[in-house]
Amino acid sequence: MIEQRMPPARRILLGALALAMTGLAGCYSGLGDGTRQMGDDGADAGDAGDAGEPDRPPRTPGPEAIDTPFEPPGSEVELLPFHVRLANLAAVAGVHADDPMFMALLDRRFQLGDHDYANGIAPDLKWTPERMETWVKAVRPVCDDPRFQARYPDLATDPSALARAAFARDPSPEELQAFAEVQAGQLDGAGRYRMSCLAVLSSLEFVAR
Amino acid sequence: MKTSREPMAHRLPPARRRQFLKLCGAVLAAPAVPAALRFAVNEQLFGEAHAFEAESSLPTYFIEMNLRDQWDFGHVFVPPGIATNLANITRGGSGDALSFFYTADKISAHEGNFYLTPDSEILIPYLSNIAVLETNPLCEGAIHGHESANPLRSPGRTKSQDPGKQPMWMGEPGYEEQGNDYWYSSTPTPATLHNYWQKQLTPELANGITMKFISRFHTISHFAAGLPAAELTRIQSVQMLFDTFPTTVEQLALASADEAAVFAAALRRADGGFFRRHGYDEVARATHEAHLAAAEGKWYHQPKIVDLPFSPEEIAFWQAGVPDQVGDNKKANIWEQAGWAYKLLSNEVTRTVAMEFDYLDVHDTREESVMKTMAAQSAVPLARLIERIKAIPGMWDRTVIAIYNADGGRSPSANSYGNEGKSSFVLAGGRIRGGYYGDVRVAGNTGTGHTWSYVSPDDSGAAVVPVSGGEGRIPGARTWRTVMRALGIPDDVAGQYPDVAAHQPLDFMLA
Repeated sequence: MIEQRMPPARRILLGALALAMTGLAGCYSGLGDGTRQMGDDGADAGDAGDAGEPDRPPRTPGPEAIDTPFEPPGSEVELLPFHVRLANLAAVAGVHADDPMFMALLDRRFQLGDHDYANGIAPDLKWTPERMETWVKAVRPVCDDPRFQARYPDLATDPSALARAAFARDPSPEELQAFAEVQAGQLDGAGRYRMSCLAVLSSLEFVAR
Repeated sequence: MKTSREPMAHRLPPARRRQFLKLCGAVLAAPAVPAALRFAVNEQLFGEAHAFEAESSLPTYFIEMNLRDQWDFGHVFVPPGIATNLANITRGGSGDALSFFYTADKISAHEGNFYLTPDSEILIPYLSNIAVLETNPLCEGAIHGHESANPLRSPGRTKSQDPGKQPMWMGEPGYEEQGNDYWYSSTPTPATLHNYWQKQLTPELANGITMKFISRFHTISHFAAGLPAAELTRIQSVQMLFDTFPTTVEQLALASADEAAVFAAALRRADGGFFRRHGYDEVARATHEAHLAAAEGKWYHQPKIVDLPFSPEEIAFWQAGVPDQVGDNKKANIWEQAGWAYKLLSNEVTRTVAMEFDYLDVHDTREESVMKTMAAQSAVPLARLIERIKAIPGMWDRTVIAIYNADGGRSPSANSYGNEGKSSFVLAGGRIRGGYYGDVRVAGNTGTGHTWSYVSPDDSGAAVVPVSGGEGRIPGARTWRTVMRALGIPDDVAGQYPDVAAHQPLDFMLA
């Protein structure tokens, strides 16, 4: 989709850059005194995709060599990218994404799957038990924030408004039933509010795609 | 010791037998009781079946050390055929000369067919519990063997999605093809299966981790083969590691166990329609519900606290003599990974830690600094881990350290690649019978160096089976079953996977 919007000249430039990066990512050819040297062509014969015969002339793998299997996301849910979850949360709360109510989320951003390519951290969008735990801890301050509570004053008795804002649709009867059940055992309104809030903002409909 | 007579405890009246069983269980599970003694007593008192069951229910600790790129242990464990023939071997850092930089007088011989260099002498006190096998199957990645899977870690892995096999790469953040390849398998990788089993024994354990600290785009695939909540937590930075295991007590996510149970049930109900709306299959729903069940135990659970940042004394211990990581995007040194693994395991925070580390992917010429750096980066952390673990009563007996030459090995020649020659595997632990099993010998002279021949051990451990191409190498499934046996994972758990089911452990490696 990005390619369709990209001017042809930029596509060519980026393609050339990608090829150059592919070459630079190769093996090291000769290392003796602690200084590393790339092979003359930036990649050794082996990394050119041969079968380990060092006598072969180097070949640079073209884009066609990258044969990524297509895997439909059918067997495990995938989280929305962290910045999308944060943006959606900010929209639901009616504040900017850098609001202090998100400090705990931002502090744990990499545990929650955010990326930082410059430092070798790739997105990790598995909805694991550990990430569920961290997410609930990090979202709690949002639910406890007075501005959030002013925006959804009736959440303890009716989660529809929050669910509608979070899901961009009316909640289903099943979802409303779940958000009512999550209040079981809570002795006061504050507890009921917090549990409903955490449940809506931790449900797959809000965090996953 | 095998016995066919009636177990002694069976002669007791039922009520006293129950009391006796309980008392013995408590006493024999104490960490200071040696495993062999515990097994013998259990076998005498209660029978062989009970003895095996009792062993399987005890905790074990696992460090899976994955080394890329095409690591060479040539300066750590010198094959006997090379060590005893060094005067006749052309050594040097290029071409087909042996990439080895000590003279024969610097090599020390030890029991178990071990020959060490000054770079690996730190391991001498521990050789009786270190097994080395280098005639394993070769890696088969498209780029001279580089791959993220490894035939020892997931026997039966293929490049096509054969029936029953699943993609192995889906759990790895930022996975890309080059140097990793796309593999399918039905056999879980060792640390993942160990993590699963230990959490079955002790559900409140923190999840096992893998420290994804390779300096480049190459990675290691960890694979659960569909086991629920078995996947290791992928740690991609030191800060993420420290955030995952904070040094102070945090507020719990929820206020009570009841609240956590209600919350999990509510999310199960709320999430029910999501799978249908988004086209996910029943596996996705089952996986999610298994994750919710596991999360329920975490939302109201105070994890054990561990202080992972190193003190100056700890740095002095772990760092001394270990070269820093070399690479384009340095993430953490191997001595740091070893120290963190030790802290996590010895504090019983988790029982499974995988390390991922690399040295530059060097070919053509491999001079002295290359070999010495790799030797120091592997031998010294291994020795320090063993030293520290042995200092905790009973822990070494229940610890396994498996070092995988994760993406293939080398021939001993300087200019070599990972789809030829040695494919190394090192196994250490209190239940391991030490030895260098197999051999590498000079097959011929080229004028500038040599060609090499390889010999595998037979079932007694003797180096007598010639290797020719893929023939004669030890099947990865046998190595995999050996690791599982050493880890105390029951045979009915480890043996349920089709590509390992028919294979037996390498008994000569097990004490």
